[in-house]
Amino acid sequence: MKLLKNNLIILMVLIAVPLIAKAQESSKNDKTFALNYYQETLDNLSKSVDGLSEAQLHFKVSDSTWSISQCLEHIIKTEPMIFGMVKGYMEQPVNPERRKDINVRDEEIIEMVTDRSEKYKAPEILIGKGKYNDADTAINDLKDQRSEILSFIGNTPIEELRDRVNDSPAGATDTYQSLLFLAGHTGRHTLQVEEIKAAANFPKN
Amino acid sequence: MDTKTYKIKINAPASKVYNIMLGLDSKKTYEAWTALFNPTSTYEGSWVKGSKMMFVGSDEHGNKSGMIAEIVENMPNRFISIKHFGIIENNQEIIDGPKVESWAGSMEDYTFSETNGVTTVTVEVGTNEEYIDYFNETWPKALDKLKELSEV
Repeated sequence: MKLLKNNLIILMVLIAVPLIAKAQESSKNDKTFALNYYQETLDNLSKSVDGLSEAQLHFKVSDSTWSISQCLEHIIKTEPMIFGMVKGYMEQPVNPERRKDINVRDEEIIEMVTDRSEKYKAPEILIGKGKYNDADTAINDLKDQRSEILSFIGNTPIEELRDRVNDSPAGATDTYQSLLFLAGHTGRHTLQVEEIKAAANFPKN
Repeated sequence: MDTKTYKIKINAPASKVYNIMLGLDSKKTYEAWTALFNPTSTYEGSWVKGSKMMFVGSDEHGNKSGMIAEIVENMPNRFISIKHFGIIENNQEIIDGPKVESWAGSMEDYTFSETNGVTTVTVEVGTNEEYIDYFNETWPKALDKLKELSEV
């Protein structure tokens, strides 16, 4: 009997160790993906606005469209707002029983938010006034405020994000997906910056 | 309130031990070493400084119980400080009253110090008299489990 018990314990350990390792690996992959996506969206935006003059930053294709300066300001206003929502979700108890309601994959979240063929109207409070006269200041502001978000991602196990499900315009989504949406929003407006730069009458310098 | 100190040397880098102890890549590693305290032990929250964290498990009736805390300091791979300010009993959060008074403000600090690839983990934990024997018996076992997980 004792032998049987010992064998059972050994078997349980043999099963448990790979399970822990597998969970760690999967979770680590998600975290790495999110951190890489944050870096990618920051890099793309930095590259897109690098060296733009004041005239280029404030250029508008038409009176009803945004300048690049406004796009930057909108990104910088919006990220903390969405992150505030994420922090709010973290204050709520986990609700893994709602995971079955999620019908959207992570990559679909990114595809949806970066799909420029779909237009959304930003709330008045998040519309930029065109306060940035140089791109470096805007990028530094974005980096500064993102440090809190990156620290949060680094210090939070993915399960804690996955197990908090909330309703969003895309239906039920988890908090990890909200974080992808946040970075994807910056990706979306980086595409808008590129559209502005591609205008025929965009200032040469 | 007494403060008890427990130490262990682990043959792994501090970054790995810190990650496994907090369950940053997966809560399962945290749950594995804290299972020595309660087989259902886990947490809900984030380790980011200033966050509210709930250290929970199921009691004998299957209800959620545990401690509510704040992460007052988090220096990655070096130090983490936890301040308890409430309890969870029968799925309810209680942050004042006689049940909380004996625990409120108690601290739990983990320090990680690496030398030549060996990490010393020091745990300092505030405790009531009634838990000293339990902690003296359980913390060393839990740290042994942490060592086992970290040295894989």
